[in-house]
Amino acid sequence: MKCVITGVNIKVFARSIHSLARIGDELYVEPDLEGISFCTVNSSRSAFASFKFGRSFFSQCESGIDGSAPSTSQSNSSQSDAETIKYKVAMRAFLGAFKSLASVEKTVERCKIVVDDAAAKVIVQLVCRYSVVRNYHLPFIECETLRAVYDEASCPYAVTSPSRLLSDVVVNFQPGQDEVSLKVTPTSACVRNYVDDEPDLSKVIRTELQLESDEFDAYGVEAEGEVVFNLKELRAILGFSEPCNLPVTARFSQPGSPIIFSVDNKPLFESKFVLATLTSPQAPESQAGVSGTAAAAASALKNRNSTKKQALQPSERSEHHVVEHHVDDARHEQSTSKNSTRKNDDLRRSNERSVNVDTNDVDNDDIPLMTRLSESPPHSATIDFRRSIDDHSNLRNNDQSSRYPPDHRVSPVHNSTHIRECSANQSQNVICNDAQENEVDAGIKIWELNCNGNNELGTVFEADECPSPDVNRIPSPPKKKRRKHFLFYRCFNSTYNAHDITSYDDVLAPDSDPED
Amino acid sequence: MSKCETPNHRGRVVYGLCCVSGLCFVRKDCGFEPGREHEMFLVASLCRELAHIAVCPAAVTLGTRCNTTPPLRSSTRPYEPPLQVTDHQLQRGKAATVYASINGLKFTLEEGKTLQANAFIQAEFFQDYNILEEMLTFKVNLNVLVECLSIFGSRSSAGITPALQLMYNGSGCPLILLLEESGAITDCKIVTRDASESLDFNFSNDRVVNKLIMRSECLREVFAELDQSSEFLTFHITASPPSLRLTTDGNYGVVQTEIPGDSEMMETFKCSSSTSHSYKMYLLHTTMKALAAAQKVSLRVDERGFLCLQFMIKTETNEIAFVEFFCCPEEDVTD
Repeated sequence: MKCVITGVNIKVFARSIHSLARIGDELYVEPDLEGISFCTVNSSRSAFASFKFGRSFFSQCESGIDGSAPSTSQSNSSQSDAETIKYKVAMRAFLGAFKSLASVEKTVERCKIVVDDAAAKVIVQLVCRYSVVRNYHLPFIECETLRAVYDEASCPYAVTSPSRLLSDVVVNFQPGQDEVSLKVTPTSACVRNYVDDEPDLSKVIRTELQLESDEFDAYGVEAEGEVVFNLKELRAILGFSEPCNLPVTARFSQPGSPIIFSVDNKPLFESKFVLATLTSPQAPESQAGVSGTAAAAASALKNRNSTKKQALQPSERSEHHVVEHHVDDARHEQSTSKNSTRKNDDLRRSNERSVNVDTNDVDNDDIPLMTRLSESPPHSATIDFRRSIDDHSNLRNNDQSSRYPPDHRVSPVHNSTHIRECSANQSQNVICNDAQENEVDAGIKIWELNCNGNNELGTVFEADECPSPDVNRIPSPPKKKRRKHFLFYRCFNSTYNAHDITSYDDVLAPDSDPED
Repeated sequence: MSKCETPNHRGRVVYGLCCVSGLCFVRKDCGFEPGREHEMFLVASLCRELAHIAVCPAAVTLGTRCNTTPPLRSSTRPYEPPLQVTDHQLQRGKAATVYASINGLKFTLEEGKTLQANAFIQAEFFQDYNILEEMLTFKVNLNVLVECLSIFGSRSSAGITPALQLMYNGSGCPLILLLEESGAITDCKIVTRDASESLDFNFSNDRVVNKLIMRSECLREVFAELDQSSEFLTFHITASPPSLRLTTDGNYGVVQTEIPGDSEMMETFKCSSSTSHSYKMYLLHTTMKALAAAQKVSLRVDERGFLCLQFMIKTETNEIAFVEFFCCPEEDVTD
């Protein structure tokens, strides 16, 4: 594969790599007939991003695919292979070539990406000003196609907005805010921060923005709907689309189905970001009924914007935003779904937020446990994590790790990627430092960690032996009362002999019970 | 403005003047005899002398009003920023050795036995340069020196430049700096130590194998993009095709940067034989500050592989100062 990028497209390309770097740690490069795709998936498999660059984006593009020839494959010649070869490069390695966007813009005149199959290296050559040439030799490994399973066409909700609008929305949320919920009605949209299981509701800051439907470029909403997704990934999307000044289209359906953001500039490039959504967001009352009490509470709240008008006004767009930040006060009672039924929360939550990642030709024999766990039939190429793991999945977003011990999740999940992609092929030049020698063990390890929920790497055990996930969630028994120890301390002496009490026969007070 | 008089330990009267710009003290007799380090340090004066100085900021400062033994060396400079710039390159928290000779000042700093940095300030740089002995050497803490020089701020604001006077009275005496800006005078005494032998890399022009002179912008960009995760930076200089190639081998792969010999940024390219030597990355990192301030860079490699980088720094008055770095190459361990 060989391609050359010149001019302003270098900046666009660099920005797309930065955007991908904010999502995942490995970059999948897939050349095909129409151009080259760069995709990545995040470690918890809850976000998938892909950039497809068409042939017109490059000043020169040879993807090494000869579509017409039948597969008489020769080992090292990618020219005659009818099958496309996919490459996986460490994201940080690739990003190193485009480290500083400002300097890329200023100095780089030409960017050439060549794949050297023999040396198993991707060579990124940047020709800069003053005739300086930089060559980055990055090792790659061959991998399988990375595809997310989603159906964009069947999404009933489709909303297109200018990037600037979404940026204005996103900037209002607290920097550490993980999830936001997007609730749409036929006339308006409401973006709220999503709070789950915060033990002290009075310390929570809630942010809510109302947007009218005419602020969007396209608004295809027939009925009400609400989805909850991760804000960090939306920020990564906007990091790419806003400088390009392109609109962002969001398509989603019911909670649990992924939300798909696309930023397109056909035929140069099209990008898709598939984010997982929560299966069942918390009931609105646990979010303290912001919309219901908005009018009453508004006076007591701090408003970011001075305009609080929610009614439709034919004025400029900015005035329609109603941004409310407020901290819950004690009178919002804890909803039943909050503390006592933590179990249900976890089960529910564990069934949710992962994108179906479809990898073709996974060798199922290597990972017996995984397929057994998933309810899909063994031949299915889909590894559907939504149903497979019964536990608070450690495949969730790492950002959610406040409750869970954070350390164990990174490496084993990394291994899980190995399982899927490196399966049948020999890995050349494995770059990931924590590659496990035995992929099967790695798979088993993941399962162990899921069950234990903590850092122990116990022995291998079967799926059904796994203790119920709720074991860890039962509150500890109440503290022992020490009073009786204090009063009857002599009884608890180790030398106490009940038969040996000297004053046993002395009756200090007769029994006053009037019995016969 | 109130005035109070306090006798100092020598019986001389010191005036205290309290005025708009703060409390200040003036020594009636400004002598810089050895042994008076414990006297007050901050001198800010509104007396007539100062008014005179405020009128002509480029003039000689208080030093000339001394009526005691004149110092062994005095130098006056209207600008201090260049001295700071060059000193910054060497800043490491360690003691720098100062060599003062008839030709000017040389500050030397060493890092282990592998790196030596020198900053040269020619005598012509100074408005007034007097030295009574042939060569004076002493050690002074460079951090402290730079901080004293930046006491009025590290960058001079438009039009106002501080004036500086340096004085040193021989072995055991502190290095005295007088800085003046817009009427405020600062008097600093920095303790000095005896200088020990400085490392001599024995780098002579006769044994230089390759020599390049280039403009610094190009090298600046290249150095900024270097892979910092690599431990070594290798310089390959080849004659045909003429080029300088920098290679790093970091966590994520090998990066090669090539600057051709016929690039417009390369002013001189003399390569007698191809060389290839590696140097520790962090040593070269220390040259970054000098590179940032320099206009031109000269790179020389001798037959042992020692690298000499010379940075030419031009000040605002078009005077030139040089900073030089000698770097030891890494030995190839062959089994």
